[in-house]
Amino acid sequence: MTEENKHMDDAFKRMSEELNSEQYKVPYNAMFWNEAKAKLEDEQLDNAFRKAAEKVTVVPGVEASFSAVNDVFMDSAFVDAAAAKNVKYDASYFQDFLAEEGNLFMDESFTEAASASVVDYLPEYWPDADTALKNEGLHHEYKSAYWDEARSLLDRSDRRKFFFKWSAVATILLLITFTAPAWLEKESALEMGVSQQISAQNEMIIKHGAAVENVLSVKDENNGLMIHEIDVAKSIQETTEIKRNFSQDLISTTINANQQNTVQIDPLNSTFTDDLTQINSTDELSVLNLPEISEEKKSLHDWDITNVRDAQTIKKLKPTGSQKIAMAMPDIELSKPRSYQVHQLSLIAAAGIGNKWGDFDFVPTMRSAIGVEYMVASGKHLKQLEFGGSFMVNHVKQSKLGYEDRSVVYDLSGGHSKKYWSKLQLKDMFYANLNILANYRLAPKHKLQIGVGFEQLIGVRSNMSFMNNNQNIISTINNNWGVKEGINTIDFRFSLGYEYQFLPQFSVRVNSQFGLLDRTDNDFFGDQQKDSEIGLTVGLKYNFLRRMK
Amino acid sequence: MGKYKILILLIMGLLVAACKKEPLPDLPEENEPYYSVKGYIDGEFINLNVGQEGNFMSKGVTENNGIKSYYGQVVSPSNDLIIKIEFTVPEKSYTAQGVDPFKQNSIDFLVHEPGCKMFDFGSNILQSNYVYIQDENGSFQQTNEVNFSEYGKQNITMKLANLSQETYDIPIYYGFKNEQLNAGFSAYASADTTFFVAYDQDLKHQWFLDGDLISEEAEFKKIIGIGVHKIEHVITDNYGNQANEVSLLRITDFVLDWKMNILDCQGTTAPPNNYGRVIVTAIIDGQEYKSDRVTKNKEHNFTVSNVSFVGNSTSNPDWAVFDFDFESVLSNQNDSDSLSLTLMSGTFNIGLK
Repeated sequence: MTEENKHMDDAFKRMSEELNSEQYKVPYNAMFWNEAKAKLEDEQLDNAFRKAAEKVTVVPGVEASFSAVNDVFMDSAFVDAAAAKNVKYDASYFQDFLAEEGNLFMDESFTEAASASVVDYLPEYWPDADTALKNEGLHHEYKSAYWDEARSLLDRSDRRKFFFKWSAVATILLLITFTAPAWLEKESALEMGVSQQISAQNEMIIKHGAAVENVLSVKDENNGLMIHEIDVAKSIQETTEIKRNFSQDLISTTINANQQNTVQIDPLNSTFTDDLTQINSTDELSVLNLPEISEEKKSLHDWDITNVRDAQTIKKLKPTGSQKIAMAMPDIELSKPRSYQVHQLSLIAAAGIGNKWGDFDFVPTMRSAIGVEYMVASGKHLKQLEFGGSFMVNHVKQSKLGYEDRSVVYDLSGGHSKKYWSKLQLKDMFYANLNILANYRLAPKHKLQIGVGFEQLIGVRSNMSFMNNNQNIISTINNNWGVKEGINTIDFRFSLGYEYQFLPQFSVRVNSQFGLLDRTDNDFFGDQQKDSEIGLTVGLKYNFLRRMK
Repeated sequence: MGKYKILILLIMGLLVAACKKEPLPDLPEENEPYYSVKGYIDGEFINLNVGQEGNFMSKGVTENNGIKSYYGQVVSPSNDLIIKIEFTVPEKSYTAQGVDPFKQNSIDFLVHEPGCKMFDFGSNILQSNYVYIQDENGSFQQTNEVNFSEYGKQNITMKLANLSQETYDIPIYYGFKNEQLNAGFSAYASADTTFFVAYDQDLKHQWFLDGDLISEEAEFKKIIGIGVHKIEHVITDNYGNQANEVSLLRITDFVLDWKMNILDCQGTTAPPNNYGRVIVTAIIDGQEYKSDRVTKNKEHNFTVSNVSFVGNSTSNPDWAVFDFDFESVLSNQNDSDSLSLTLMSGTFNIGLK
């Protein structure tokens, strides 16, 4: 054994002695074993649960089952609570409940109706509706003050949205101009042609879910007007909202159907009542169980809802699934819409830029215009078109349109020659402008306008300096209206514009105009340049007078 | 509402009326410069258009060595240059058509030559010994001759020392001889009467004795007192051309002793008649150069054409306009420097009043 191994052997011996010493002895404790045993049993139990779970199939999602579970817990809670506290029963409570039961149902019905009905408030129809209500004469007492107050509240709410809404809209307005045809074409298809058969004042907007296509249509069945044939043969899984806005009335109809039947609704020939209490005596407002409708009453207009008996019949109809027709509308007696010619007189103010006359320059010059416009929309034919004219005063500002003339007269006597000169700066030109206009309605609020016009120069503001005397005195006349030389007096122009109506009486218009003739007199300025007028303006149109005939 | 409409209309009317409506002024029609001088001065081309670049003209009537001259000059401040053209009056400026400063199209340059005039007392040859002439310093020097360095007229003050200390102012013309308007006259005595006879009989005559008009006849006689008298004969033709001759007479015992005559000095050639000749002057940078000091200019001519007259009266115009061309050599005062003017041409004017 080497010396090194000998030392190692000694070290192991000493370690063995230390481990066998009293210091490292540990006594046995039975509690340790019980704890380990318990852990062992839990693991076995877990495994048992896992095996059991693999053999069990759980079907989730039955709402009633969960409700029942909840009820069980609730019952248990009530039992516990009842055990904890005793309350003396008073029979008058139940009598009070019975007395208020109708109102409670009513409130709940209103709540459901409110959630089911979506009324899109459009301020532009408000005055017309107001007028219509007055003209029609309501069953209940009508006061314009209430109406105006309601309108102001709605307007106020609209105002909050206005800046947020239209600031964004304004930025993409021009984009809409270019994309509007495709977009409007798509939307027009969704409107099922209803608006195409209704005059501009009787508009219908129908919105429905994406799954519904070619479902609803308007058909001229009897007298060709306002017959809404709603074919719900396809599976309509989503709420279809039909909203009609007339100048005289406002109807909102919500249909949620899943039927193989054809429902014909002729609301114009029907008389409805806004007595929701009467209609909604059931908890579903008005619910039509279509399969139970007799053959002679498939059409809604066959039902006289104002008739208490029919209303009771409707009340007794029980809903099947989600098939329902819910209507909430004021008491409006609808009549056949008339075809109107709408005459409209507007004030227009616009400002913009235009080309610089004279020497070419990329820097544009200012344009502005103010005037009146008269347009008439036909109620029968060419409903998308409006024709009319306008009288405008157009202002053209030029920055460097000038003329300078010099003359040196030599003296026969041989003295100093006499120098004469004049300098003219043409600053502002004003034209009287008559236009013939045609508007094409892209959509209820979007129009394209083209026009041809004639312009007559009516005034020129200039600054002038000259020396034409022998006293070497320079005369300067600013803001002079006495010089029209250099500006041709007549011109013909074409205009193309786009108009968007953002408020009932206000529209914004982008207009471009192109002159046909040379605006400046080349002989006067001594050049050969053709200064045709080119301008682009953005203006505001205020419809201050509107008459329907 | 009605009154508001009226108010609005009234305001609009006031606004419209308040607008300035000044028409564009009509400027007079422009014309070309009337006068110009172009050519070469020492080989450098100049083109002075009167009325441009501040160039202008002045004109008028002046005297050159006592001789009336018509002149015009172009002043070019930008070039610091003045070109002056002057014409001595013709012997007869006025004609039936009015004033005519030019007797011919080709005009000679006036070139000065020194000369001498002397006094002649006829048969009294001793009198010339007592002639005293006032010099430039005001003192009288005994001399019978008057020297001229340039053509022109000199007014001399003389006295005859043997007779009195009285002085006499006598004009003497050198180089300007009256040939067409001869104011010369003869005087002779018969007893105590002196007879005066004008050489040119057909003109108007005025005779002044010691400043007093004594006759308007071509011939007349007069008894004149004893002493020396100054007599002046003025003749005027039908167009207003005038000439005069001044002389002295001595009367002794009421008899004419002598009549003083002014003659060219003996031994000298008769000077040319310088009426109607031209002198060209150029002033460059303040240095004056003239053509009348350069003998070479006798070889040159000054051509005048397209003469027209401007003025309210055709017979008495204010100035004459003409085209010209010439070549000349100009020299400064002491002949130390000269300018050569070649191919000079243009349109000029001269004043006649």
